[in-house]
Amino acid sequence: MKNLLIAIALLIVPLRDANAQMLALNVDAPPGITVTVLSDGVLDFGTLIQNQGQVSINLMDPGTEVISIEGDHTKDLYVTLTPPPSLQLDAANTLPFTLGASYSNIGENNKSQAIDFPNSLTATFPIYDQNRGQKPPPWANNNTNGNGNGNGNNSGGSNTTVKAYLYLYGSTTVGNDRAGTYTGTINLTVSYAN
Amino acid sequence: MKETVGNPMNPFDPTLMQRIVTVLLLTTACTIFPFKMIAQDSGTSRISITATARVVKSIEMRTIRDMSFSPVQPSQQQISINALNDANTGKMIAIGNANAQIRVSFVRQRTLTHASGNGTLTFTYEIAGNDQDDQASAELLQADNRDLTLNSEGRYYFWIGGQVNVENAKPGNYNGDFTIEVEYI
Repeated sequence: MKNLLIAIALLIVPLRDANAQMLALNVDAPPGITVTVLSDGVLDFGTLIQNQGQVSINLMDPGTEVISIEGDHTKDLYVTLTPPPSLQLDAANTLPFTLGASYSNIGENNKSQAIDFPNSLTATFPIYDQNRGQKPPPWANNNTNGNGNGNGNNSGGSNTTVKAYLYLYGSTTVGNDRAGTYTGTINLTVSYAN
Repeated sequence: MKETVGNPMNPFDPTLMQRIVTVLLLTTACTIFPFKMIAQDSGTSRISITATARVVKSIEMRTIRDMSFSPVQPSQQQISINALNDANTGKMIAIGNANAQIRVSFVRQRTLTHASGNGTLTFTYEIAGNDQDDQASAELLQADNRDLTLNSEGRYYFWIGGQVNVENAKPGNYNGDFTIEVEYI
């Protein structure tokens, strides 16, 4: 019986060590990516009149959709956009749709510093560009104020996060199209590139 | 010497130690790999944004009739057409999307020019509007109205009248345009 108790005790002690090791692995794992839509989530062209022609929401317009991507400050992001081929009223009635996208990776939500996607659908970029960003970088302050300037949720250590920002905009063209509400869904996928 | 090797109750038994190590390895494996999966999963995020546009018909303005003036008498100082009840009013219809909100604006005063080019008159417009084809229940519109709605058939009716002082007017014909703007809100 004594031997059995010792054996159980030996089993328990290593298991505690295993738990500790598990936690250490968790710390070393790169922070996940948190994508947040800061605007209303609807790229809204508003009310358009038949034969109005091309209508655009440009980068600097208030109607631009703004999305923050929070992740490991050492990582590059790979962003893929999948726009609808058109905005649809129904299968037979569609409006052409062109999506535009830009990103800001300087640690702040700043459209004027945004860079256009090299092509309209995908981009790979560092989540924080050391050469263009704030001096000192957001995580240097170990700031947890969550003010949307890319320096929230920084708890020190190797898991410091920073935010990049995406801006979505676009254009559509209205000809002699049927009246009604045309919609489409833009899918956004974000992952680490390295 | 009593042989203890192979006794499962002996914690120092190599066989037991192997089992412990095996259990530890399995436990560690079970705890590590799920966390790796979570890290990979959390390394990719997906969201969706909706793009939308509401297309409405162009607003068509139809003139049903022009304003009609009786010949002006020499003693007459002013011509007046009451937009709310005069049969001489001009009449127009705006046709667009059913139940759409519209904004109506117009320039209240316009200059009419004598046919010879010499002499002008200032016409002050008065407009009544109604979503029903009923002049008597129409309301007088201000120069800029935002709270109007096309009816269920997409129509809104206008009656156009006004006043002009002809006391010092030179005899002859006077012409001028009237502009009314109707747009969706």
